Amino acid sequence: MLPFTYALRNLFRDPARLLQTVGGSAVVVLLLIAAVAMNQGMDSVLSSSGSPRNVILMGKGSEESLERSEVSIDAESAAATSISGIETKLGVAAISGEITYQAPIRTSSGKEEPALLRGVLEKALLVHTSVRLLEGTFPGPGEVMVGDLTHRKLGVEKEELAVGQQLYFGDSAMRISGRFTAPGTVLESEIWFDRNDLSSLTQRDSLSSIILRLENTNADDVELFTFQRNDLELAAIREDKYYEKLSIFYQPIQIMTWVTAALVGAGAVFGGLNTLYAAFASRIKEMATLQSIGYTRTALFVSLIQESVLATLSGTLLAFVIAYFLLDGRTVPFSIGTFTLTMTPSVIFTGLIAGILLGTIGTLPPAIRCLLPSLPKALRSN
Amino acid sequence: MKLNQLLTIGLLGLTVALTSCSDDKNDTTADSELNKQDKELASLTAILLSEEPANAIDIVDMRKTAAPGDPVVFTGKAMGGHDIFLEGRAIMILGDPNKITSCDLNHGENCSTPWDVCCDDPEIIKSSIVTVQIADADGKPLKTTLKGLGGIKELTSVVVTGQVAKGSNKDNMIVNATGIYVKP
Repeated sequence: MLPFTYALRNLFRDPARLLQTVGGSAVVVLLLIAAVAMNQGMDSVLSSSGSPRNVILMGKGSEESLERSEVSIDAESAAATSISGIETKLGVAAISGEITYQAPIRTSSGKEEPALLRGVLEKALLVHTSVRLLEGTFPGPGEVMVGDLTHRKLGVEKEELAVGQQLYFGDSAMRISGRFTAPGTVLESEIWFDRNDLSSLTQRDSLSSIILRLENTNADDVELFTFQRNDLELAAIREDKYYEKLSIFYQPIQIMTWVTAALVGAGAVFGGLNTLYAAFASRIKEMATLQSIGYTRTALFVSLIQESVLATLSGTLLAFVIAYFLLDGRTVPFSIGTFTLTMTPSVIFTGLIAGILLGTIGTLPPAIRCLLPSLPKALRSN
Repeated sequence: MKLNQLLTIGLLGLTVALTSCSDDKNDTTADSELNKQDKELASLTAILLSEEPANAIDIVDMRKTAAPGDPVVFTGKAMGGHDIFLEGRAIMILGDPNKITSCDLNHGENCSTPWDVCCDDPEIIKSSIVTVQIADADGKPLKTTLKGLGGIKELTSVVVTGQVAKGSNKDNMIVNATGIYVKP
């Protein structure tokens, strides 16, 4: 085998080509890990948002969207008394009738952005068990509670949504009474209103949904209730299944991300091929000389691959460093919430594999072409 | 050596005895569950009628007059919503084909749920459907689906005899079926 230092020294024979390879592979790997982190972040926030023990009662025919759903206010008490197996805490049944509404919200600086609003009563905390109040109080009349990532959804500084600040729904000013966290869920980007406030502000006399937390994951009794109370026109869906269905809605975006990453990756491989063909073609005589002093074609082939993988892995390392500073922990708002880009082990692993593949696949054809001619022919080549 | 052999045999015997006890217990539980299922299946099968009951009325007419506890005989079609059978419960939705139209008659083969009645007015749908259940002694639906019983499936026409369940009102009617005739 050729010494490793041979491959290493060769890298610096053409600094321009080295920069091109390292830079190109860094861009490809960065794009790929961004795509993986984005898709994983979106999937993660949607799958964490629903609990298998929560069942959503929605209006029949509106099972695709909580915002479009309409449920009679009477259905909340009917469900509470008819359905068995609802979890109780300190004697209170974990059942929460809620209004979900998407509308533009204006901050005190005048910036207006659409946000997801949820009209709730205190019982909401019994079903949304991931919610924790970080500071302030649960919203009363004329007040709202904001999620820890709501500022990202509204595109404003966190200080603008501090407790005591004002938010505007149309002309109505609402005081921020508290700030809550619900790690890794879409709730964390929402604004929670007092249910009666949101009901009058949106001029609706119905709920969007009723969320029940069951003692176990068996939702048979809830479905039975919807059959026995046809007059309420309800459909039952497990909360985790609802968000699973929502993730199908976002699949085209995820596919587009993959297609873009694949196209850039393919471009990089073909670009790399072109560069390496030229680079290796000028070294045919050098390879032949090494063969004539005893090195096998396999040893030379391995050395060429080493050289190329070293360059692409340097690019991969550069991509990881850039991703760590620019992407890791960054929150990205989307229509129903905010997800976080995280450099998980699987993201890093994908980047690493991409770096190795870039270094090998792109090198194989030029390396084979360079080593294929017979020794006398190769020694005579210019 | 002899002591070792005795201990081994003793241990094996104990293991067999314990395993047998455990199997017996499991068998008993499984048997009782099977018996329960058999009984439920038998009650379901017994409910099927071989002859069509006379004087069956439409669902809409029945809903206008029947009160909780009244005996009823009515005809209907398995339709009226996206889900009309419930997995693991003897309950189904029947609709009045003279008042509401199943999607297969509106959209032909293009509709993925032809038993749905999505083109009708929600208020008319509400007054033209009835929930039919086969209840146990406590008034709760048996824990087995009605789909497949006597060939019942979506869009099957049936005649039902039974009693209007407690709690039914002008907006919502549940019938405890005592007999079901599946129309050919």
